[in-house]
Amino acid sequence: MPFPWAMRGLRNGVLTSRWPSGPDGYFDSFRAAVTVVRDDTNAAERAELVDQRTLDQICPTGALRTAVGDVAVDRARCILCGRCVASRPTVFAWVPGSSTARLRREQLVVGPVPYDDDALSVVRTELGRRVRRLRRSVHIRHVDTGSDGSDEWEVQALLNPVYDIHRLGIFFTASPRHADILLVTGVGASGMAAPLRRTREAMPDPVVVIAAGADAVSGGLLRDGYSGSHGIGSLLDVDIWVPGSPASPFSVLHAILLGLGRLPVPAPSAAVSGWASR
Amino acid sequence: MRLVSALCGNRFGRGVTVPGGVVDEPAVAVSDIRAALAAVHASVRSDLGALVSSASFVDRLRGTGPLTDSRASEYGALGPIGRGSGYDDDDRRNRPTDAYPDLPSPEPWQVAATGDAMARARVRWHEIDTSAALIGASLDAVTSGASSGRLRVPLDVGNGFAVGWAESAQGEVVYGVEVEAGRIRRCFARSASFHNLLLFHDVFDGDIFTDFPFVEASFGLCYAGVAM
Repeated sequence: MPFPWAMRGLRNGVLTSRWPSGPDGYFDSFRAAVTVVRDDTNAAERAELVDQRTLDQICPTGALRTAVGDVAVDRARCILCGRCVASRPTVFAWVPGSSTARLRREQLVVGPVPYDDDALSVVRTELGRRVRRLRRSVHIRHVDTGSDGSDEWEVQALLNPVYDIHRLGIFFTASPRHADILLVTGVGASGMAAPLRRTREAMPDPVVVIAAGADAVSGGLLRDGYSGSHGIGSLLDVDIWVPGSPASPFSVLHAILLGLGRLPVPAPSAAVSGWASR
Repeated sequence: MRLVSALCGNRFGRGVTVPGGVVDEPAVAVSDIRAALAAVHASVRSDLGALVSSASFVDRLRGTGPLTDSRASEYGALGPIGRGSGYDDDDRRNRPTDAYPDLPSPEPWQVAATGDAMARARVRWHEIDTSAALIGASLDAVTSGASSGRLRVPLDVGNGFAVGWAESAQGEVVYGVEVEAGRIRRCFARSASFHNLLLFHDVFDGDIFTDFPFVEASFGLCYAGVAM
């Protein structure tokens, strides 16, 4: 009988997030990234860390690096283990907020690095032109190129009532021929290189490629392992890079909407000031 | 997931268990954990009750995706797939590690194992209750002060190779780790799904094409990790 299920649904009420049309506390509070705290009080501690060997003792994936006489975090490599925050709490800090996706991989490096505004605006303009027609009905093909399952779990969550990606006119499809977005997780293992390329070739243009999770962006924890996988950037042209280990459902959703031009792109100055505030 | 996120700072419980112990106390009060767990458990049981009384749903599971007892024990089917076909091995009971010897041991699966999707579903439904009971017992141990109060003991990590295991929702997960000079030199992970994958090919006897998603869901395999 259909009625008990309808009653059940009515009794449970609306579980769906209002994001992006409204704010969501979990979107804003989830600790999806690490940053370097830059103020006068920790100048001495930061100076002490300007030594790659010291940084490599702290970070298991080489996400900490020296830059211009100071310290930077490469979120592409960060697996959010928190060792840096635990061992140097005056220098490294968690940053709440799920809007971690970027249009260029260089933007994932948070530190005092010079930033190329012109390159970003070229990328932004071209992507905007490509997705102009993908307004109200978008299909995603998801490919796992070798991960531990957590990235896929978070992508699956987009279909549950809390995130409910269907309300935004975005659907998953089993066939690349019907897809507009290629969402890739996993390290880009050699056995999946050819299937990934075949998937991309089977997708009619225009296509947006999203690399979701530290594994896909940089190879994650296995980056220097014998599988030789460094993420999918060498296999495909990637349009949106989403850090995280795994990238949370809100971060993936934010990335999809960013790729579709439905969200304002973080301004270039925000990427540089991502130094202390993002 | 959000309870785990509040407890551990990430949604998968990572970064909490380290060699020698744990990194910190629970970040959520025990009473709040109990309340959140009770709410989730009650909600799931309520939905299960509604599902089981839907004849159209139950009909799709009965007789679907049969895994014979002999094949399950011959292959050593792990987790609910094994238990649904009469092969019950459980690391929490047979090879307990960490706090499992101090917690109530999961009972051997007693219900007639028909080997179909229905049997595997019944195993999973029961395991939800088992997990809730184990978490409750763990919370009791935390509040009673049964632990020594130390979060972590210093370890002298020598060089060599060792095997570790744990009973996951899908069955036993096994890790082989080679350690040298305090770093992991090689690591092999065998998920339960990786082991059970091969049995998927044996269970379609008498089924129709539209039974495929039910068989697939009843196996609940995670295909990730195979390529990695």
